[in-house]
Amino acid sequence: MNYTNIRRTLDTISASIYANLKIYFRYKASLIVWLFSTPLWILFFTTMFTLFLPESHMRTMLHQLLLSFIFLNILSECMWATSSYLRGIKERNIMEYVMMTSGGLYISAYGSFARILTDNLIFSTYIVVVFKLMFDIDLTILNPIIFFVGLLLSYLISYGFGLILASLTYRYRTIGPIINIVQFPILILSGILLPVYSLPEEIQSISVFIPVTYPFDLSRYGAVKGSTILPLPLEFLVSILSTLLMNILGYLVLKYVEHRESIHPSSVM
Amino acid sequence: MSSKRLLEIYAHLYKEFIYVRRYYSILIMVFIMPYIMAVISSLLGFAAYIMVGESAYEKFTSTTGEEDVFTYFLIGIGLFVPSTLIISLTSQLTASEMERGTLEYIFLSPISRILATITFPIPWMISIIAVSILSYMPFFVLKFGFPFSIEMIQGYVATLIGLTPLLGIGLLAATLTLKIKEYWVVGNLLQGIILFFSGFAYPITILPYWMQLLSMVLPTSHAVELIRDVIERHISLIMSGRLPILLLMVPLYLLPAMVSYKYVLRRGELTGELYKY
Repeated sequence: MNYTNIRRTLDTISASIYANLKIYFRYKASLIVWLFSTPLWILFFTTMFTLFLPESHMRTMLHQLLLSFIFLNILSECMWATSSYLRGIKERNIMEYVMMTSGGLYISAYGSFARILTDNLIFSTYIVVVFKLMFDIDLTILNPIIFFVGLLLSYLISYGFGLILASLTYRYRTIGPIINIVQFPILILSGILLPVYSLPEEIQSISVFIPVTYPFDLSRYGAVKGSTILPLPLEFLVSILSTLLMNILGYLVLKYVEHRESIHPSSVM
Repeated sequence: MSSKRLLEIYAHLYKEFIYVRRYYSILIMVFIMPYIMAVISSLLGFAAYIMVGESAYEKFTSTTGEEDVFTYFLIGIGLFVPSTLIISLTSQLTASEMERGTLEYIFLSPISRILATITFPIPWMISIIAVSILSYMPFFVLKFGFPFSIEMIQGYVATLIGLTPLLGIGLLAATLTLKIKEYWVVGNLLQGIILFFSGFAYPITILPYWMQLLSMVLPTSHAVELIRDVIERHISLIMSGRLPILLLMVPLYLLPAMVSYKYVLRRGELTGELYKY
């Protein structure tokens, strides 16, 4: 790859980032409503959880729940952003133009990663503030290095997973219900919603086969210690390998989408 | 009612049923989601049990008065999923026709405009209610052994009555959103309010008093209690105190919604606010 190609690829990425962020901040009313409705969703799940919690365990469990909300938004936003990115390209009939850019679909998809990071930064900050104000719970991180390495891997693996899902759903008219149906089981099975050790044994035996489980488990360990699924060095290794695998698969399926669209462009409506 | 008017209604319902058939994944979600969410909610209880022991379920029983965690959550969440969908779809259908530029075509046709726009959500509502009743069936079969006992039929009727006033709330929301570019925001906000204040997954008595007052004006709070009365507490549908409240809420929400909707449409025709171009 020569200098001109690198520059063109970087231009594609920066144009895609710009477009994604512009679209994200275009819908101001949605952002304002989101500020009001998010605490209601948090309160709903938290109130439901407190049905089971004696007062003595309330703070520890609410801290776990705070982490769950942060993790949940990472995977969820990766699924929504990548899927709506690809579906949006299809609906607007601009697939050909995007495929003609330097790097094609895969490189231009990086713009949705900027949207994911922005959304997560806003959401995580907001949710930490909401938990502090509502329940007087602080986000404490016992081992920041493990936490942030785990978080980085969680972002990357969720992005790879999002690309795979996007390539499977972009031809469907209503991606929302499909994502909802997929995301909730994944959130349970991968220990994002609740720590793996607190799940029934039958579910734990499935969780260990899901690649997404490990980076999130690592990150949770970095925040609250407790136990990891595998011994720590092995969990690092498995997390890195799973992330690589998921992103390679994500790359391959997007290349396949390009190939398929160039031979058999599907109708939009 | 003249045969011409009946034909109009049929034409609109047919058109919307085609949309329902096209976007069938929404109905799949209505069927599956209550089970997925009830499992998640039950797992919250299991996680608490792993961490604090038997006292987790003891606390649940003492707060809710119920022992069967899954049943408790499924009944509530089984109503939440269709409720939010009815509200968001009803509030968005007219605005989405505007966005597509097809509202003008409907208004150009020789039919009643108010009838046309009010019939938009009916097929969705019928389909969603039918599928939510269907989605309760496997659970009823597992719990009671047969899906058509007197109690269960009362449960289905309770679901139907409980969800009907939501059409009014959706239409009221639609009147607020017709002129907003982001027409989905009111529906999203209402989803959050209905989710938290309706007591789908906890008794509203655990909320502060002022919140309980707010939840009393929501039909969903009464609907979920009506279904619990019939299915869990074995109180007959007619004997439940929630039934007259819900029956009263049907016209209470629908009539003002239709009046304000008609007003907004008439005003929109005069000012051109309802047209895309």
